[in-house]
Amino acid sequence: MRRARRNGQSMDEVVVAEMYREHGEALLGFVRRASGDPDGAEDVVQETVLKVWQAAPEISGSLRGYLFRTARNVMIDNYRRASSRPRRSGSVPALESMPDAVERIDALLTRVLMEEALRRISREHRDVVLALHYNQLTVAQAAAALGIPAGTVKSRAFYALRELRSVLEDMGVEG
Amino acid sequence: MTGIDAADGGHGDLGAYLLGGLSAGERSRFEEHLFGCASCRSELARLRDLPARLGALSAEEANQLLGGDDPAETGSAASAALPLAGGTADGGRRRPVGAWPESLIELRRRARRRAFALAAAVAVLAGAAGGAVGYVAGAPRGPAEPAPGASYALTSRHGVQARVDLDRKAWGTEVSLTAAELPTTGVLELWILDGSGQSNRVGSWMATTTGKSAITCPVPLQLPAIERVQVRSGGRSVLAEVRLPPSGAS
Repeated sequence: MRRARRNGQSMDEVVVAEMYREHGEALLGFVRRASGDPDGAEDVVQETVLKVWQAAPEISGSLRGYLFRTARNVMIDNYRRASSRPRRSGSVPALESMPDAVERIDALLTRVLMEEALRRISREHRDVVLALHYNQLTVAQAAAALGIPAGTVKSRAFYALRELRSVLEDMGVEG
Repeated sequence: MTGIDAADGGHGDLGAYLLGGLSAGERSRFEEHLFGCASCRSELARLRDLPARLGALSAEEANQLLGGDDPAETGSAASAALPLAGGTADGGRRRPVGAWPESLIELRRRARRRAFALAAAVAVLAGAAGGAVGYVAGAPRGPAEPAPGASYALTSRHGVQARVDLDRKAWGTEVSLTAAELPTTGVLELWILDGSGQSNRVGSWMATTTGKSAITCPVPLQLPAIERVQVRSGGRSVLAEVRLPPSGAS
């Protein structure tokens, strides 16, 4: 059933296009890494967006987090179907076991959700996390690098972790 | 709220403690404080998994992702690792609204077709990784095109969570390891095994009290010549191993 049209598109298509425009690229990156299959990745993304649009879920947290988790389920469903399909002997190496595939995809999901969470925390907090955790600076070195007092580095480190926890909870990631 | 004020005495070190920014002296002072401070212990319990979660990104990725002027506008490190197929002129960052081309029915039809492609890709990984849980950011390709490096993530049977990135360089390969759940004492070593059976120690470092390490080593071997990357303890037992696909497998 067609609803109101805008610029030749139905409103449904507008909603789907919007979702795709906002999140498509990030989803594509995730799916490409998880599946290692550049050709199939766009299809997975499209099916994901479609599923979410069809279900029209009530999402209180992050739509992007929800899309990532849906993409994970789409990939695992596909994989399950593919592994139950008979294959020509000798032509293809044995498939990764299902638990391994799930574990691998989940590990990557953790990663992309973390990327997303880090993007959402404030710049000041991000800088301190980057300096202390990733670049392995001491508080004193981070203070010098960021041009702020050491006490501020410590206090931002604490509030950065709190903010990260709260963003992750918002995205549906359990503590 | 637990009443912890980050600027207040020992409490204030909690964030820096978890993020590994305290000196050895500060760390032991904070641990003493922790022993007698219930609110810090409860806050610690709430936040303590975060460093391990941060470990999902390597230092290089995090710097790439977060180090820019406006990380909110930066592409995902995951998506940045590969060029977008049929990428748009602006590097594939944004897709115009009109680029949602197919009807919804067509999308459903297409979605059913790609199961085998995924299976084939996963099969290559399974064969390549030799049981390790790995993923390939960009599988090595034929010699004619400038091939990207490769990345693998795994949890070894020793419980070590490791991520290995291999970047092609003119002089060989830059091997980066980011790992968690490593031994917390002693010396750790990174070893490379090549196709001819030669094994070489390419780096060694002191274990950290957090069990996390990040190390980058230049290896004077081209990527296809590298067969395995191993993390070993000083006693030479293998703690984690990544087996690379034989060249040409993909």
